[in-house]
Amino acid sequence: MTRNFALTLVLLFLFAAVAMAQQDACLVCHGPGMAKGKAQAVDPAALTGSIHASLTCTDCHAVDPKVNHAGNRVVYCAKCHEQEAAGFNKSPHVEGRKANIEKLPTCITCHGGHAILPHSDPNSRTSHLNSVKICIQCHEDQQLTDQLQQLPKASVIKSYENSVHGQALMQHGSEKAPACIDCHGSHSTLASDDPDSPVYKTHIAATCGRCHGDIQAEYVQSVHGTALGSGVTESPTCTNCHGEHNIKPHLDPESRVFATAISKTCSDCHAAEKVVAKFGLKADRIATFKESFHGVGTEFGDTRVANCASCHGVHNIYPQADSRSMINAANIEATCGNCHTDLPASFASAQVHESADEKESGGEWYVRQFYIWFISILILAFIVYRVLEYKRRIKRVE
Amino acid sequence: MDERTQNAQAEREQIIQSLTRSILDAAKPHIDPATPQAEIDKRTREITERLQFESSVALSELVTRFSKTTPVDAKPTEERTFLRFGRNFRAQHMLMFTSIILLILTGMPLKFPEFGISKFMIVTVFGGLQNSTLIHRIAAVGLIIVGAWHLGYIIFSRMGRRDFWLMIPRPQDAKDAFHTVLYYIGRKPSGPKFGRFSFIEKFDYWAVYWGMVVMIGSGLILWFKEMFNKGLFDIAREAHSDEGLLATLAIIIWHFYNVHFNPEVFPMSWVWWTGRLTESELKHHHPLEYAEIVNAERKAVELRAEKQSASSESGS
Repeated sequence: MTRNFALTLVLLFLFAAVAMAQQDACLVCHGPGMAKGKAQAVDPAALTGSIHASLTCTDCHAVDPKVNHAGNRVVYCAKCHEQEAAGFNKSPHVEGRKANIEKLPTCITCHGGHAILPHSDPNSRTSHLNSVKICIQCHEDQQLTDQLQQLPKASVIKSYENSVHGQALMQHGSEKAPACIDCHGSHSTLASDDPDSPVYKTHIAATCGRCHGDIQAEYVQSVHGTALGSGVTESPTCTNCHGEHNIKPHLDPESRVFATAISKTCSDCHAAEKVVAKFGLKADRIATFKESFHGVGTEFGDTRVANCASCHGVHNIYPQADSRSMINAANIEATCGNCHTDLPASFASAQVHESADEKESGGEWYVRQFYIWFISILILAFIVYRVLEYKRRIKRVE
Repeated sequence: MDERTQNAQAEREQIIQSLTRSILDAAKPHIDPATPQAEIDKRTREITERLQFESSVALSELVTRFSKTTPVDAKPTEERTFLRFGRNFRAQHMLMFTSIILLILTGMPLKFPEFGISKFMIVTVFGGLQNSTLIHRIAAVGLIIVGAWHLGYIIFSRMGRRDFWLMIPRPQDAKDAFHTVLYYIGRKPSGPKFGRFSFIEKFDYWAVYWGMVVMIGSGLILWFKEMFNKGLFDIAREAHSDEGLLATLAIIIWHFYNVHFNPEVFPMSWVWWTGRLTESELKHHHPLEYAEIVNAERKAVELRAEKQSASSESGS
């Protein structure tokens, strides 16, 4: 027992001694202040403080010290970090290398070299807060994004800094706010058109739902969520309404879902000929809303008037026939009643989204036709009369 | 001719010449190349002369009208004046145009919300829809008061009753309108002679009458919508919006022309403020009324003379 223990101790000591000796051997050339010629100086303390303190130089650097090994810094992270490396190898960061694009990141670009700290350490380069800075280093480099057409524009990425997420993270240091990697993934960072990407259209709701779970649950039940779920990729997901990097709180006037902006956001699809024609939607929903007093008030920036969401719901939009719909006959009175407590029930049951341009609207069409003709004829008569009068006046002066 | 006038004239001629040149340039592709130069020159000269003439007429009218003194600083004339609008009627008119201007400013932007000027009016001038709709309702009350006031006026006031009777359209008005058009196209040597109210003024009055009925009626439905159903509300909204546009256009094109932009009264006829017309104005614009007044006066004088002679006879 004692012998075994002593033997283990000796062996351990030996290993340590060998390791130390090996490190010392590298530091003969690479130690601080020792670097000569092309040898690069290494601070042994950086490695000692890092999560890799127990590793030796040759664990990462496959180096034969006997030959000239300048420039031969092959890094073998994958030896231990197999999964991460596999993800990274599929990412556009590696794919881009085939196209001979320089300036693409490798492991150390993000994680650093010898002084790697675990990402749970706030001082780590890859900590929740710091990771953003690594990504924007390249992605907010205008020169780079201008050069590489496949990259999103620098301004698009930069808008994250003013978004509700960016503000929470970068200004207030919130641990809950998503950094780049929370939506895009950390190592694989697939492009948004890759079906495996967490920001691929059909995955977005789940990605957002990791924090906004209750909203995701509501959304997947909705007409938009079920449509997308059944493969209708035109159907909007979170980002179609809220934006991507530039998401603002819904009470921010710059938000795409601010009370006065939302009809514009809905119009992206509901007034788009392609979408409307393909799915047999009513094309005049936005136009008739704009004509209504609600729409007019919205145009003047009044937030009290109803917008699309006030009547149709937000994440919980259903077809009118669905009993859960806010505009279902069973619920419409309560929906109007949210604002108009004094209106009789007959008001709620009447036709909404009517246009005086259409004969089906009933009385309005006739009223409008009457005035169109009345005003036109009157104006024409006025003008003719005035012109005649003017000509006469000229003649009289002559 | 002093130097300034000469300079102005030279400048005007220059403008006209450059205008002529540009007309000639624009017309060039349409001119048959076979046309002799002399013909082109002749036509050009005609256009130039025409332009010169019309611009000088317009300019001189403008200058005369702008330099026309207002009654405030007018020299006291010896000319006799006649009361056209009493104090009561003038007060009605003032309350009405104040209300209507406010109604147009707060209402018209709602018909054209996408225009920049509409946003400026509602958001910047009135400070938002909440304020503008409140002002609209206040002004609407003003208009309703005018409506009720005027109805009382044409029933209970002697002058109101008489004027309303004279306002009623008659076949003569259609004849006058036809006559006017014939005169304008040169088929008659002179325009028709008008009485107290010409067909132009009657048109103005009845347009307002009709407008008041539609606007107040539909406006009340919109205001107290909880008492009606949505079908009626929608129709009222369409009518209110369209009639509002019609009223605005009628005021600008018809009424403003008659009382502001018409060179005969430009920049403004002051009768809304003074209520009075001079003898020459009355004679010119309402010759039949003038004749009637003169006639009545002569009869009154005769009657008084008769009475005097009768009393002196009985006294002797």
